Amino acid sequence: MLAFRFLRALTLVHRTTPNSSNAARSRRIQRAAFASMAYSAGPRRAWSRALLCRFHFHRARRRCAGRSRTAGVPRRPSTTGSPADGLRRLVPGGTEMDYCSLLEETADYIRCLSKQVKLMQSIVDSVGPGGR
Amino acid sequence: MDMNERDECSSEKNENHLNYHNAGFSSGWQFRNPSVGIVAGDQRGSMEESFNPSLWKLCESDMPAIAKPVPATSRFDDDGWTPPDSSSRGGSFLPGGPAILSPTLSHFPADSAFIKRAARFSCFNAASLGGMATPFGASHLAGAQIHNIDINMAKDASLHDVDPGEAADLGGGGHETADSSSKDLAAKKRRRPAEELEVEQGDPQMAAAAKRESVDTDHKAEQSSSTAKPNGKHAKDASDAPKEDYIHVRARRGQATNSHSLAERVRREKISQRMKLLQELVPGCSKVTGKAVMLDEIINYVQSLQQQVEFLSMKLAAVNPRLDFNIESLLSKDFLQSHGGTSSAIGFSPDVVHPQMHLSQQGLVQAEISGNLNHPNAFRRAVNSMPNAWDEQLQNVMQMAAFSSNSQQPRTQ
Repeated sequence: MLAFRFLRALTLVHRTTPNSSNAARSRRIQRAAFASMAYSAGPRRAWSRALLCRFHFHRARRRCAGRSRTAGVPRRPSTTGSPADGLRRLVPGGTEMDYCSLLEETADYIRCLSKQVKLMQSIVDSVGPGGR
Repeated sequence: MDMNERDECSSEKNENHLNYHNAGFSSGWQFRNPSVGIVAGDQRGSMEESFNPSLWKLCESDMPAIAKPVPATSRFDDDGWTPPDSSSRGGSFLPGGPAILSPTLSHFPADSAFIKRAARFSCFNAASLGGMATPFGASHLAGAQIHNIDINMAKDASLHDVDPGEAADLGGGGHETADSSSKDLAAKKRRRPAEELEVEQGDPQMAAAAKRESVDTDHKAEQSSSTAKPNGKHAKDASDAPKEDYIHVRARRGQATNSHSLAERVRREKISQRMKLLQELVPGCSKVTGKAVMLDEIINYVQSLQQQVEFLSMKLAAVNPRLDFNIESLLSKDFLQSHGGTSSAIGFSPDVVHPQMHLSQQGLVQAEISGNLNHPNAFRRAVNSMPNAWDEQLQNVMQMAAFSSNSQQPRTQ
């Protein structure tokens, strides 16, 4: 599932932005990667929901106003002195979870991230050195 | 044997350590009602050894006699309590007694005559309750009630003074008269019989259950002095239910067992489980011990994964075209991989996939080579001829690949 979504998104990106710079395209591809990850994970997971919310939110906001930063904005300050602050910032939607579910979401997020990385790596490898 | 025991009881009122123990232990046992009801069957056999074997045998010999009210009552006439009085007393509290007993003694015969007898001789109860399970515990409760009803039991008034205090302390009923000092004393005294119990027992289940019960009563008593008493009682009641649900969560020795600490322990175990999962996921974390270091490792790993995604996306942005064939092979590989794993339930074998793939590959190759607009139609036909079991996303992607290949060819060539 992840492969299909991502490849479709990838081809879309390449098709629709042939003239934009590599940086912009890479950003779009990265977003596409996260979006496909979130879609394939489904709404069961808090991190995927947070990612999807962020994407829809960003898309709506981009239409209305300028770009917003892609980093997750913590809705409420994390508990002081908590050892999991760094993790909360990394995992999407992590600021609003208790520690126990944060660990579970982190595990799932790591699994999906590693799948995504493997997929992208295999795409890059199969394209080969002579990409153009 | 009967006389000896009862004389012992009657002579020593407050200082009778054994009675105190027994009373405390019995009251400790009496209102673990659901759990004791469950565990009592196991424990009774082993408890008789630990606690005053002669007493137990006495009680055991009494048990069958209980069924016959007439000989039972006749045995204890010389105690000074007239049978009619006791029967009236028994009758007065009988409606309450069995009612109280029934939820707790589901598998013990709530014999009314037995209850009557047991209630009458509270010292006997106190002495024997230590070695007994629920029936005597319940009768002790009944005995406590009797105390409220009948002042004639002056002989055991002292014992009853102690007992309701402990009973209240342990949430046994509505007797909220114990003060903290007696509670703590009772807790300490209760601890000892429990310790004796577990030291003498070889049965681990029994010991664990006894530990659980006694430690619970211990800490319940101790904590209720610090926390509000009604809260403690509710907490105890609440802790009973979760203890029954999570029967595998044992209050280990020396650990607090009120509901908060139990919940925290469950939470901590959950957290440690998840940390173990994470340890397996993150490579190179198996030798790391300690939560803080593990967390740092996990954070580093997640950061590195995200950086890899960014790097690869940059690479993919640069390495744009030539995706058609690669998509094909990738799709076949990933599709087979994913469906090999997931669709086995559907009975979808990869062998079925291959011929279709071959067909679509041919279509793709033709589309690529000729670069003609007609060939996407051929390709589309090939795609549409795929079995319905195929994901339509796959078809979409194939179409996209065809389009992209078609669109790219003028660019590349």
